[in-house]
Amino acid sequence: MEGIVLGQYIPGNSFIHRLDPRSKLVISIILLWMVFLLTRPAEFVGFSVFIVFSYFMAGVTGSFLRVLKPGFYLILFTLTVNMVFTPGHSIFSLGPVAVTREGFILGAVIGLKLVFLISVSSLITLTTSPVRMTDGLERLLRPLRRIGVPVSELGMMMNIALRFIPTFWEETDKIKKAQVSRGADFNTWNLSRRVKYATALLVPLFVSAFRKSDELAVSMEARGYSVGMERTSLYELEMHKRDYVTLVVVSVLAAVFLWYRTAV
Amino acid sequence: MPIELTNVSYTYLKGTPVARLGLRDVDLHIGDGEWIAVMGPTGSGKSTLLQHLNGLLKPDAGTVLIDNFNIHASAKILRETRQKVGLVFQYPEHQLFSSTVWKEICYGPENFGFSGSDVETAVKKAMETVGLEFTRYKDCSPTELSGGEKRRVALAGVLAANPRFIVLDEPTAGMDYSGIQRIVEAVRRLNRDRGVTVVWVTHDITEVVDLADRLLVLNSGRVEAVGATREILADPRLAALGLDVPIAVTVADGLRKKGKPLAGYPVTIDEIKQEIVNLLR
Repeated sequence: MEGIVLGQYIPGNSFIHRLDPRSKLVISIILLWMVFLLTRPAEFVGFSVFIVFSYFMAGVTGSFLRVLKPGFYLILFTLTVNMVFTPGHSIFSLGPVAVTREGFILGAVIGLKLVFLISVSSLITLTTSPVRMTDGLERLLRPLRRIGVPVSELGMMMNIALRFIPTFWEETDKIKKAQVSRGADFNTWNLSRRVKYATALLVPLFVSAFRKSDELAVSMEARGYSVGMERTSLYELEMHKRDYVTLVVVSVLAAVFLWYRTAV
Repeated sequence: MPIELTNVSYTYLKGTPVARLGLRDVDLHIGDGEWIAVMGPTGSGKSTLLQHLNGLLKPDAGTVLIDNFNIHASAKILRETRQKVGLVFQYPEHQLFSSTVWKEICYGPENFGFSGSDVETAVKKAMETVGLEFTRYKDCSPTELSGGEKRRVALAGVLAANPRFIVLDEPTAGMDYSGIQRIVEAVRRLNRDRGVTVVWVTHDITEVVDLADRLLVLNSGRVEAVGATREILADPRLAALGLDVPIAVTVADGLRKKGKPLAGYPVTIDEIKQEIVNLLR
Protein backbone atom coordinates (compact mmCIF):
# COMPACT_ATOMS: atom_id res chain seq x y z
CA MET A 1 0.00 0.00 0.00
CA GLU A 2 2.56 2.46 -1.12
CA GLY A 3 2.20 5.03 -3.86
CA ILE A 4 -0.91 5.51 -5.86
CA VAL A 5 -1.56 6.16 -9.49
CA LEU A 6 -3.83 9.17 -9.52
CA GLY A 7 -6.58 8.62 -12.08
CA GLN A 8 -5.68 6.99 -15.33
CA TYR A 9 -3.69 9.77 -16.92
CA ILE A 10 -0.77 8.59 -19.02
CA PRO A 11 1.50 11.52 -19.88
CA GLY A 12 2.25 11.85 -23.57
CA ASN A 13 2.56 14.27 -26.43
CA SER A 14 0.21 12.84 -29.04
CA PHE A 15 -2.27 14.87 -31.07
CA ILE A 16 -5.04 13.87 -28.68
CA HIS A 17 -2.94 14.74 -25.63
CA ARG A 18 -2.34 18.21 -27.02
CA LEU A 19 -5.99 18.95 -27.73
CA ASP A 20 -7.56 21.48 -25.43
CA PRO A 21 -9.49 19.74 -22.61
CA ARG A 22 -12.58 21.71 -23.61
CA SER A 23 -12.55 20.28 -27.14
CA LYS A 24 -12.01 16.81 -25.73
CA LEU A 25 -14.96 17.17 -23.36
CA VAL A 26 -17.27 18.44 -26.10
CA ILE A 27 -16.12 15.75 -28.54
CA SER A 28 -16.62 13.03 -25.95
CA ILE A 29 -20.18 14.25 -25.33
CA ILE A 30 -20.91 14.05 -29.09
CA LEU A 31 -19.39 10.57 -29.28
CA LEU A 32 -21.24 9.29 -26.20
CA TRP A 33 -24.50 10.58 -27.69
CA MET A 34 -23.69 8.76 -30.94
CA VAL A 35 -23.15 5.50 -29.06
CA PHE A 36 -26.78 5.56 -27.94
CA LEU A 37 -27.98 5.92 -31.52
CA LEU A 38 -26.02 3.00 -32.98
CA THR A 39 -28.25 0.21 -34.38
CA ARG A 40 -26.93 -1.39 -37.59
CA PRO A 41 -23.97 -3.80 -37.67
CA ALA A 42 -22.09 -1.53 -40.10
CA GLU A 43 -22.39 1.35 -37.62
CA PHE A 44 -20.94 -0.80 -34.86
CA VAL A 45 -18.02 -1.80 -37.07
CA GLY A 46 -17.45 1.81 -38.07
CA PHE A 47 -17.46 3.01 -34.49
CA SER A 48 -15.10 0.22 -33.38
CA VAL A 49 -12.64 1.16 -36.10
CA PHE A 50 -12.84 4.79 -34.98
CA ILE A 51 -12.16 3.86 -31.33
CA VAL A 52 -9.21 1.63 -32.18
CA PHE A 53 -7.82 4.33 -34.47
CA SER A 54 -8.11 6.96 -31.70
CA TYR A 55 -6.35 4.73 -29.18
CA PHE A 56 -3.53 4.17 -31.65
CA MET A 57 -3.29 7.88 -32.33
CA ALA A 58 -3.08 8.66 -28.60
CA GLY A 59 -0.48 5.93 -28.09
CA VAL A 60 -2.44 4.40 -25.22
CA THR A 61 -3.44 1.08 -26.79
CA GLY A 62 -1.68 -0.74 -23.95
CA SER A 63 -4.25 0.61 -21.50
CA PHE A 64 -7.30 -0.42 -23.52
CA LEU A 65 -7.99 -3.70 -21.72
CA ARG A 66 -7.03 -2.24 -18.35
CA VAL A 67 -9.68 0.50 -18.54
CA LEU A 68 -12.34 -2.05 -19.51
CA LYS A 69 -11.51 -4.28 -16.55
CA PRO A 70 -13.71 -2.54 -13.95
CA GLY A 71 -16.69 -2.74 -16.34
CA PHE A 72 -16.08 -6.37 -17.25
CA TYR A 73 -18.56 -7.88 -14.79
CA LEU A 74 -21.23 -5.33 -15.68
CA ILE A 75 -20.85 -6.23 -19.37
CA LEU A 76 -20.91 -9.97 -18.60
CA PHE A 77 -23.98 -9.51 -16.38
CA THR A 78 -25.83 -7.54 -19.09
CA LEU A 79 -25.03 -10.17 -21.68
CA THR A 80 -26.19 -13.07 -19.47
CA VAL A 81 -29.39 -11.43 -18.25
CA ASN A 82 -30.44 -10.45 -21.77
CA MET A 83 -29.62 -13.87 -23.21
CA VAL A 84 -31.76 -15.60 -20.64
CA PHE A 85 -34.71 -13.28 -20.17
CA THR A 86 -35.47 -12.16 -23.71
CA PRO A 87 -38.26 -14.17 -25.32
CA GLY A 88 -37.66 -15.54 -28.84
CA HIS A 89 -36.20 -18.48 -30.74
CA SER A 90 -34.26 -20.72 -28.45
CA ILE A 91 -30.71 -21.56 -29.58
CA PHE A 92 -29.93 -24.00 -26.79
CA SER A 93 -31.10 -24.58 -23.26
CA LEU A 94 -29.51 -25.57 -19.98
CA GLY A 95 -32.26 -27.31 -18.01
CA PRO A 96 -35.07 -24.79 -17.53
CA VAL A 97 -32.93 -21.87 -18.74
CA ALA A 98 -33.26 -21.18 -22.44
CA VAL A 99 -30.92 -18.91 -24.35
CA THR A 100 -32.67 -17.12 -27.20
CA ARG A 101 -31.22 -15.73 -30.41
CA GLU A 102 -32.92 -12.37 -29.86
CA GLY A 103 -31.59 -12.27 -26.32
CA PHE A 104 -28.07 -13.02 -27.46
CA ILE A 105 -28.16 -10.22 -30.04
CA LEU A 106 -29.68 -7.74 -27.61
CA GLY A 107 -27.13 -8.63 -24.93
CA ALA A 108 -24.25 -8.31 -27.36
CA VAL A 109 -25.51 -4.93 -28.60
CA ILE A 110 -25.86 -3.50 -25.09
CA GLY A 111 -22.56 -5.05 -24.02
CA LEU A 112 -20.80 -3.52 -27.01
CA LYS A 113 -22.36 -0.13 -26.29
CA LEU A 114 -21.05 -0.35 -22.72
CA VAL A 115 -17.58 -1.09 -24.10
CA PHE A 116 -17.89 1.97 -26.35
CA LEU A 117 -19.04 4.22 -23.50
CA ILE A 118 -16.18 3.13 -21.26
CA SER A 119 -13.55 3.38 -23.96
CA VAL A 120 -14.64 6.85 -25.13
CA SER A 121 -14.66 8.33 -21.64
CA SER A 122 -11.42 6.56 -20.73
CA LEU A 123 -9.71 7.92 -23.82
CA ILE A 124 -10.29 11.40 -22.40
CA THR A 125 -9.08 10.59 -18.89
CA LEU A 126 -6.08 8.69 -20.28
CA THR A 127 -4.90 11.69 -22.27
CA THR A 128 -5.82 14.63 -20.03
CA SER A 129 -4.20 15.44 -16.69
CA PRO A 130 -6.74 15.89 -13.87
CA VAL A 131 -5.76 19.52 -13.42
CA ARG A 132 -6.30 20.38 -17.09
CA MET A 133 -9.56 18.48 -16.97
CA THR A 134 -10.94 20.60 -14.12
CA ASP A 135 -9.68 23.76 -15.84
CA GLY A 136 -11.50 22.69 -18.97
CA LEU A 137 -14.70 21.91 -17.09
CA GLU A 138 -14.51 25.22 -15.29
CA ARG A 139 -14.21 27.12 -18.57
CA LEU A 140 -17.00 25.14 -20.21
CA LEU A 141 -19.35 25.80 -17.29
CA ARG A 142 -18.42 29.48 -17.05
CA PRO A 143 -21.68 30.71 -18.65
CA LEU A 144 -23.53 29.21 -15.67
CA ARG A 145 -22.07 31.96 -13.52
CA ARG A 146 -24.74 34.27 -14.93
CA ILE A 147 -27.37 32.26 -13.07
CA GLY A 148 -25.36 32.27 -9.86
CA VAL A 149 -23.43 28.99 -10.04
CA PRO A 150 -20.02 29.51 -8.34
CA VAL A 151 -18.14 27.85 -11.20
CA SER A 152 -14.59 28.91 -10.40
CA GLU A 153 -15.04 28.01 -6.73
CA LEU A 154 -16.27 24.56 -7.74
CA GLY A 155 -13.24 24.22 -9.99
CA MET A 156 -10.95 25.24 -7.12
CA MET A 157 -12.64 22.67 -4.86
CA MET A 158 -12.15 19.94 -7.43
CA ASN A 159 -8.50 20.86 -7.89
CA ILE A 160 -7.88 20.86 -4.15
CA ALA A 161 -9.62 17.50 -3.78
CA LEU A 162 -7.47 15.99 -6.52
CA ARG A 163 -4.32 17.56 -5.11
CA PHE A 164 -4.92 16.05 -1.68
CA ILE A 165 -5.66 12.48 -2.70
CA PRO A 166 -1.97 11.46 -2.68
CA THR A 167 -1.38 13.42 0.54
CA PHE A 168 -4.13 11.60 2.38
CA TRP A 169 -3.02 8.32 0.90
CA GLU A 170 0.42 8.84 2.43
CA GLU A 171 -1.14 9.94 5.70
CA THR A 172 -3.34 6.82 5.80
CA ASP A 173 -0.33 4.64 5.12
CA LYS A 174 1.63 6.30 7.91
CA ILE A 175 -1.13 6.08 10.52
CA LYS A 176 -1.88 2.49 9.56
CA LYS A 177 1.76 1.55 9.98
CA ALA A 178 1.93 3.34 13.32
CA GLN A 179 -1.11 1.44 14.63
CA VAL A 180 0.18 -1.87 13.25
CA SER A 181 3.38 -1.19 15.20
CA ARG A 182 1.17 -0.92 18.28
CA GLY A 183 -0.27 -4.36 17.64
CA ALA A 184 -3.29 -3.54 15.45
CA ASP A 185 -4.21 -6.18 12.88
CA PHE A 186 -6.27 -4.63 10.11
CA ASN A 187 -6.90 -7.99 8.44
CA THR A 188 -8.51 -9.76 11.38
CA TRP A 189 -11.81 -11.58 10.86
CA ASN A 190 -13.07 -10.58 14.30
CA LEU A 191 -15.64 -7.88 13.54
CA SER A 192 -15.58 -5.98 16.84
CA ARG A 193 -11.78 -5.85 16.80
CA ARG A 194 -11.90 -4.69 13.23
CA VAL A 195 -14.18 -1.81 14.16
CA LYS A 196 -11.76 -0.87 16.93
CA TYR A 197 -8.83 -0.87 14.51
CA ALA A 198 -10.79 1.17 11.97
CA THR A 199 -11.42 3.80 14.67
CA ALA A 200 -7.70 4.01 15.36
CA LEU A 201 -7.18 4.75 11.67
CA LEU A 202 -10.16 6.99 10.88
CA VAL A 203 -10.03 9.32 13.88
CA PRO A 204 -6.44 10.48 13.29
CA LEU A 205 -7.13 10.68 9.56
CA PHE A 206 -10.11 13.00 10.06
CA VAL A 207 -8.21 15.09 12.59
CA SER A 208 -5.41 15.46 10.08
CA ALA A 209 -7.83 16.32 7.28
CA PHE A 210 -9.39 19.09 9.38
CA ARG A 211 -5.99 20.40 10.44
CA LYS A 212 -4.73 20.41 6.86
CA SER A 213 -7.81 22.15 5.46
CA ASP A 214 -7.59 24.77 8.17
CA GLU A 215 -3.93 25.39 7.37
CA LEU A 216 -4.67 25.51 3.65
CA ALA A 217 -7.54 27.97 4.12
CA VAL A 218 -5.35 30.27 6.20
CA SER A 219 -2.51 30.12 3.71
CA MET A 220 -4.86 30.80 0.79
CA GLU A 221 -6.32 33.80 2.58
CA ALA A 222 -2.84 35.03 3.42
CA ARG A 223 -2.11 35.06 -0.30
CA GLY A 224 -5.23 37.07 -1.06
CA TYR A 225 -7.69 34.40 -2.13
CA SER A 226 -11.28 35.33 -1.57
CA VAL A 227 -14.46 33.71 -2.75
CA GLY A 228 -16.20 35.35 -5.70
CA MET A 229 -13.29 37.36 -7.05
CA GLU A 230 -12.08 37.23 -10.64
CA ARG A 231 -9.01 34.99 -10.91
CA THR A 232 -6.53 34.48 -13.70
CA SER A 233 -4.48 31.34 -14.12
CA LEU A 234 -0.79 30.74 -14.72
CA TYR A 235 -1.46 28.42 -17.65
CA GLU A 236 -4.34 29.82 -19.66
CA LEU A 237 -6.10 27.23 -21.77
CA GLU A 238 -5.77 28.09 -25.41
CA MET A 239 -7.79 26.80 -28.36
CA HIS A 240 -5.51 26.10 -31.31
CA LYS A 241 -6.18 25.41 -34.97
CA ARG A 242 -6.11 21.66 -34.26
CA ASP A 243 -8.94 22.10 -31.76
CA TYR A 244 -11.20 23.91 -34.20
CA VAL A 245 -10.38 21.46 -37.00
CA THR A 246 -11.09 18.43 -34.80
CA LEU A 247 -14.32 19.92 -33.50
CA VAL A 248 -15.51 20.66 -37.03
CA VAL A 249 -14.52 17.20 -38.32
CA VAL A 250 -16.28 15.40 -35.47
CA SER A 251 -19.40 17.60 -35.78
CA VAL A 252 -19.55 16.98 -39.55
CA LEU A 253 -19.17 13.22 -38.94
CA ALA A 254 -22.00 13.35 -36.42
CA ALA A 255 -24.18 15.37 -38.80
CA VAL A 256 -23.51 12.95 -41.67
CA PHE A 257 -24.39 10.08 -39.35
CA LEU A 258 -27.68 11.75 -38.36
CA TRP A 259 -28.53 12.57 -41.98
CA TYR A 260 -27.80 8.99 -43.03
CA ARG A 261 -29.99 7.71 -40.20
CA THR A 262 -32.98 9.81 -41.30
CA ALA A 263 -32.40 9.26 -45.03
CA VAL A 264 -32.09 5.46 -45.06
CA MET B 1 23.22 -10.51 17.94
CA PRO B 2 19.91 -8.92 19.00
CA ILE B 3 19.42 -6.96 15.76
CA GLU B 4 21.17 -8.25 12.70
CA LEU B 5 20.57 -6.98 9.17
CA THR B 6 22.37 -8.84 6.42
CA ASN B 7 22.53 -7.54 2.86
CA VAL B 8 19.13 -5.91 3.16
CA SER B 9 17.84 -4.32 -0.05
CA TYR B 10 14.46 -2.77 -0.67
CA THR B 11 12.90 -0.99 -3.65
CA TYR B 12 9.64 0.94 -3.42
CA LEU B 13 7.02 0.05 -6.07
CA LYS B 14 9.30 -2.59 -7.49
CA GLY B 15 8.60 -3.52 -11.09
CA THR B 16 6.78 -0.29 -11.96
CA PRO B 17 8.05 2.70 -13.94
CA VAL B 18 8.10 4.76 -10.74
CA ALA B 19 10.27 2.33 -8.75
CA ARG B 20 12.44 4.12 -6.18
CA LEU B 21 15.41 2.80 -4.28
CA GLY B 22 14.91 2.40 -0.53
CA LEU B 23 17.90 0.45 0.73
CA ARG B 24 20.83 -1.26 -0.94
CA ASP B 25 22.95 -4.01 0.67
CA VAL B 26 22.66 -2.76 4.22
CA ASP B 27 24.62 -4.72 6.82
CA LEU B 28 24.03 -3.64 10.37
CA HIS B 29 24.49 -5.25 13.76
CA ILE B 30 23.12 -3.66 16.89
CA GLY B 31 24.00 -5.04 20.31
CA ASP B 32 21.78 -5.36 23.37
CA GLY B 33 21.49 -2.10 25.29
CA GLU B 34 23.28 -0.16 22.60
CA TRP B 35 22.25 3.35 21.57
CA ILE B 36 22.76 4.00 17.88
CA ALA B 37 22.10 7.36 16.26
CA VAL B 38 21.21 7.57 12.56
CA MET B 39 21.80 10.51 10.26
CA GLY B 40 21.42 10.94 6.52
CA PRO B 41 20.12 13.39 3.92
CA THR B 42 16.44 13.36 2.88
CA GLY B 43 15.63 10.22 0.93
CA SER B 44 18.72 8.38 2.16
CA GLY B 45 16.67 5.49 3.52
CA LYS B 46 16.41 6.33 7.23
CA SER B 47 12.67 5.74 7.50
CA THR B 48 12.90 2.71 5.23
CA LEU B 49 15.54 1.21 7.52
CA LEU B 50 13.41 1.82 10.62
CA GLN B 51 10.38 0.17 9.03
CA HIS B 52 12.43 -2.95 8.38
CA LEU B 53 13.28 -3.29 12.07
CA ASN B 54 9.74 -4.25 13.09
CA GLY B 55 8.67 -5.87 9.87
CA LEU B 56 6.47 -3.14 8.39
CA LEU B 57 8.49 -3.55 5.22
CA LYS B 58 9.80 -6.86 4.00
CA PRO B 59 13.22 -6.74 2.36
CA ASP B 60 13.43 -7.72 -1.33
CA ALA B 61 16.75 -9.37 -0.56
CA GLY B 62 18.67 -10.11 2.62
CA THR B 63 17.43 -10.93 6.10
CA VAL B 64 16.44 -9.13 9.28
CA LEU B 65 17.11 -11.17 12.42
CA ILE B 66 15.88 -10.07 15.83
CA ASP B 67 17.15 -12.26 18.67
CA ASN B 68 18.30 -14.72 16.00
CA PHE B 69 14.80 -15.14 14.53
CA ASN B 70 14.07 -14.16 10.96
CA ILE B 71 11.18 -11.79 11.64
CA HIS B 72 9.31 -12.76 8.48
CA ALA B 73 9.52 -16.49 9.19
CA SER B 74 5.96 -16.70 10.51
CA ALA B 75 3.01 -14.49 11.46
CA LYS B 76 3.61 -15.34 15.12
CA ILE B 77 7.24 -14.23 15.10
CA LEU B 78 6.27 -11.06 13.24
CA ARG B 79 3.69 -10.28 15.93
CA GLU B 80 6.18 -10.91 18.72
CA THR B 81 8.65 -8.68 16.89
CA ARG B 82 6.13 -5.83 16.75
CA GLN B 83 5.83 -6.03 20.53
CA LYS B 84 9.57 -6.37 21.11
CA VAL B 85 10.48 -3.49 18.82
CA GLY B 86 8.63 -0.26 19.58
CA LEU B 87 8.52 2.09 16.60
CA VAL B 88 7.91 5.81 17.14
CA PHE B 89 7.11 7.57 13.87
CA GLN B 90 7.78 11.21 13.06
CA TYR B 91 5.18 13.45 14.69
CA PRO B 92 3.70 10.50 16.61
CA GLU B 93 1.08 12.80 18.18
CA HIS B 94 -0.74 12.71 14.83
CA GLN B 95 -1.77 9.12 15.43
CA LEU B 96 -3.60 9.74 18.73
CA PHE B 97 -7.26 8.72 18.51
CA SER B 98 -8.68 8.02 21.97
CA SER B 99 -10.82 10.22 24.17
CA THR B 100 -8.51 9.89 27.18
CA VAL B 101 -4.79 9.52 27.76
CA TRP B 102 -5.46 6.29 29.66
CA LYS B 103 -7.30 4.64 26.74
CA GLU B 104 -4.69 5.85 24.30
CA ILE B 105 -1.79 4.28 26.17
CA CYS B 106 -3.77 1.08 26.85
CA TYR B 107 -4.14 0.45 23.12
CA GLY B 108 -0.76 -1.19 22.56
CA PRO B 109 -0.67 -3.50 25.59
CA GLU B 110 -4.31 -4.53 24.98
CA ASN B 111 -3.60 -5.38 21.36
CA PHE B 112 -0.64 -7.47 22.44
CA GLY B 113 -2.87 -9.37 24.85
CA PHE B 114 -1.69 -8.09 28.24
CA SER B 115 -4.00 -9.04 31.10
CA GLY B 116 -6.02 -6.34 32.90
CA SER B 117 -3.65 -5.76 35.79
CA ASP B 118 -0.59 -5.96 33.53
CA VAL B 119 -2.08 -3.25 31.34
CA GLU B 120 -2.43 -0.93 34.32
CA THR B 121 1.12 -1.56 35.51
CA ALA B 122 2.47 -1.05 32.00
CA VAL B 123 0.55 2.20 31.47
CA LYS B 124 1.65 3.59 34.84
CA LYS B 125 5.26 2.70 34.17
CA ALA B 126 5.19 4.20 30.66
CA MET B 127 3.63 7.44 31.88
CA GLU B 128 6.17 7.70 34.65
CA THR B 129 9.01 7.16 32.17
CA VAL B 130 7.91 10.02 29.93
CA GLY B 131 7.22 12.28 32.93
CA LEU B 132 3.41 12.39 32.83
CA GLU B 133 1.90 12.13 36.29
CA PHE B 134 -0.58 9.23 36.23
CA THR B 135 -3.42 10.61 38.37
CA ARG B 136 -3.21 14.05 36.82
CA TYR B 137 -3.15 13.05 33.16
CA LYS B 138 -4.94 9.71 32.86
CA ASP B 139 -8.44 11.17 32.33
CA CYS B 140 -7.37 14.13 30.22
CA SER B 141 -8.36 14.23 26.56
CA PRO B 142 -5.24 14.29 24.38
CA THR B 143 -6.70 17.27 22.51
CA GLU B 144 -6.45 19.42 25.66
CA LEU B 145 -2.73 18.84 26.00
CA SER B 146 0.15 20.91 24.65
CA GLY B 147 2.16 19.70 21.64
CA GLY B 148 4.99 18.44 23.84
CA GLU B 149 2.62 16.58 26.17
CA LYS B 150 0.83 15.00 23.22
CA ARG B 151 4.10 13.70 21.88
CA ARG B 152 4.98 12.22 25.25
CA VAL B 153 1.56 10.54 25.39
CA ALA B 154 2.29 9.02 21.97
CA LEU B 155 5.72 7.91 23.15
CA ALA B 156 4.18 6.35 26.27
CA GLY B 157 1.69 4.58 23.97
CA VAL B 158 4.60 2.77 22.34
CA LEU B 159 6.53 2.18 25.56
CA ALA B 160 3.52 0.62 27.30
CA ALA B 161 3.95 -2.59 25.29
CA ASN B 162 7.29 -3.02 27.11
CA PRO B 163 9.50 -3.11 24.02
CA ARG B 164 13.12 -4.22 24.44
CA PHE B 165 14.12 -2.18 21.43
CA ILE B 166 12.91 1.30 20.70
CA VAL B 167 13.24 2.88 17.30
CA LEU B 168 12.53 6.59 16.96
CA ASP B 169 12.21 8.64 13.76
CA GLU B 170 13.23 12.22 14.57
CA PRO B 171 11.44 12.17 17.94
CA THR B 172 12.35 15.79 18.70
CA ALA B 173 11.38 17.37 15.36
CA GLY B 174 9.68 20.73 15.77
CA MET B 175 9.96 20.83 19.58
CA ASP B 176 11.31 23.52 21.86
CA TYR B 177 14.37 23.03 24.04
CA SER B 178 12.60 21.82 27.18
CA GLY B 179 10.42 19.45 25.13
CA ILE B 180 13.53 17.96 23.53
CA GLN B 181 15.14 17.54 26.96
CA ARG B 182 12.12 15.66 28.30
CA ILE B 183 12.06 13.22 25.38
CA VAL B 184 15.82 12.65 25.54
CA GLU B 185 15.61 12.14 29.30
CA ALA B 186 12.78 9.59 28.98
CA VAL B 187 14.71 7.55 26.42
CA ARG B 188 17.94 7.93 28.41
CA ARG B 189 16.26 6.38 31.44
CA LEU B 190 14.93 3.49 29.36
CA ASN B 191 18.36 2.85 27.97
CA ARG B 192 20.40 3.29 31.15
CA ASP B 193 18.03 1.84 33.76
CA ARG B 194 16.32 -0.89 31.78
CA GLY B 195 18.86 -1.68 29.10
CA VAL B 196 16.47 -0.90 26.23
CA THR B 197 18.27 -0.76 22.89
CA VAL B 198 17.76 2.58 21.12
CA VAL B 199 17.84 3.51 17.43
CA TRP B 200 17.51 7.29 17.22
CA VAL B 201 17.18 9.10 13.89
CA THR B 202 18.07 12.77 14.16
CA HIS B 203 19.08 15.90 12.27
CA ASP B 204 20.72 17.44 15.30
CA ILE B 205 23.31 15.07 16.68
CA THR B 206 24.24 17.38 19.59
CA GLU B 207 21.06 16.33 21.44
CA VAL B 208 22.31 12.75 21.88
CA VAL B 209 26.05 12.97 21.28
CA ASP B 210 26.92 11.75 24.78
CA LEU B 211 24.25 9.06 24.79
CA ALA B 212 24.75 7.44 21.39
CA ASP B 213 27.43 4.76 21.38
CA ARG B 214 27.61 4.71 17.62
CA LEU B 215 26.55 6.86 14.71
CA LEU B 216 25.27 5.40 11.46
CA VAL B 217 25.31 7.59 8.36
CA LEU B 218 23.11 6.60 5.44
CA ASN B 219 23.33 7.95 1.93
CA SER B 220 21.29 6.87 -1.13
CA GLY B 221 20.13 3.72 0.65
CA ARG B 222 23.63 2.58 1.58
CA VAL B 223 25.64 2.68 4.79
CA GLU B 224 28.06 5.56 4.24
CA ALA B 225 29.78 5.31 7.62
CA VAL B 226 29.27 3.68 10.98
CA GLY B 227 31.35 3.88 14.13
CA ALA B 228 31.98 5.72 17.39
CA THR B 229 29.82 8.86 17.33
CA ARG B 230 32.50 11.49 17.76
CA GLU B 231 34.91 9.92 15.31
CA ILE B 232 32.27 9.65 12.59
CA LEU B 233 31.25 13.26 13.20
CA ALA B 234 34.80 14.40 12.53
CA ASP B 235 34.65 12.75 9.09
CA PRO B 236 34.56 15.50 6.43
CA ARG B 237 32.21 13.40 4.28
CA LEU B 238 29.30 14.37 6.54
CA ALA B 239 29.38 18.03 5.59
CA ALA B 240 29.76 17.01 1.95
CA LEU B 241 26.47 15.09 2.23
CA GLY B 242 24.79 18.30 3.38
CA LEU B 243 24.15 17.07 6.93
CA ASP B 244 23.90 19.40 9.88
CA VAL B 245 27.37 19.10 11.32
CA PRO B 246 27.67 20.83 14.72
CA ILE B 247 29.51 24.14 14.52
CA ALA B 248 32.08 22.88 17.06
CA VAL B 249 33.03 20.04 14.71
CA THR B 250 33.53 22.49 11.84
CA VAL B 251 35.70 24.74 14.01
CA ALA B 252 37.74 21.75 15.24
CA ASP B 253 38.21 20.64 11.65
CA GLY B 254 39.49 24.09 10.72
CA LEU B 255 41.90 24.11 13.68
CA ARG B 256 43.25 20.68 12.76
CA LYS B 257 43.81 21.79 9.19
CA LYS B 258 45.90 24.66 10.56
CA GLY B 259 48.04 22.12 12.38
CA LYS B 260 46.72 22.77 15.88
CA PRO B 261 46.76 19.63 18.04
CA LEU B 262 43.36 18.88 19.57
CA ALA B 263 42.94 16.45 22.43
CA GLY B 264 39.58 14.89 21.48
CA TYR B 265 36.57 15.21 19.19
CA PRO B 266 34.68 18.28 20.39
CA VAL B 267 31.00 18.41 19.42
CA THR B 268 29.35 20.89 21.79
CA ILE B 269 30.13 24.57 22.21
CA ASP B 270 31.52 23.96 25.70
CA GLU B 271 33.88 21.31 24.45
CA ILE B 272 35.29 23.42 21.62
CA LYS B 273 35.62 26.31 24.05
CA GLN B 274 37.71 24.12 26.33
CA GLU B 275 39.88 22.99 23.41
CA ILE B 276 40.52 26.59 22.37
CA VAL B 277 41.32 27.59 25.95
CA ASN B 278 43.79 24.69 26.11
CA LEU B 279 45.40 25.79 22.84
CA LEU B 280 45.82 29.35 24.09
CA ARG B 281 47.42 28.27 27.31
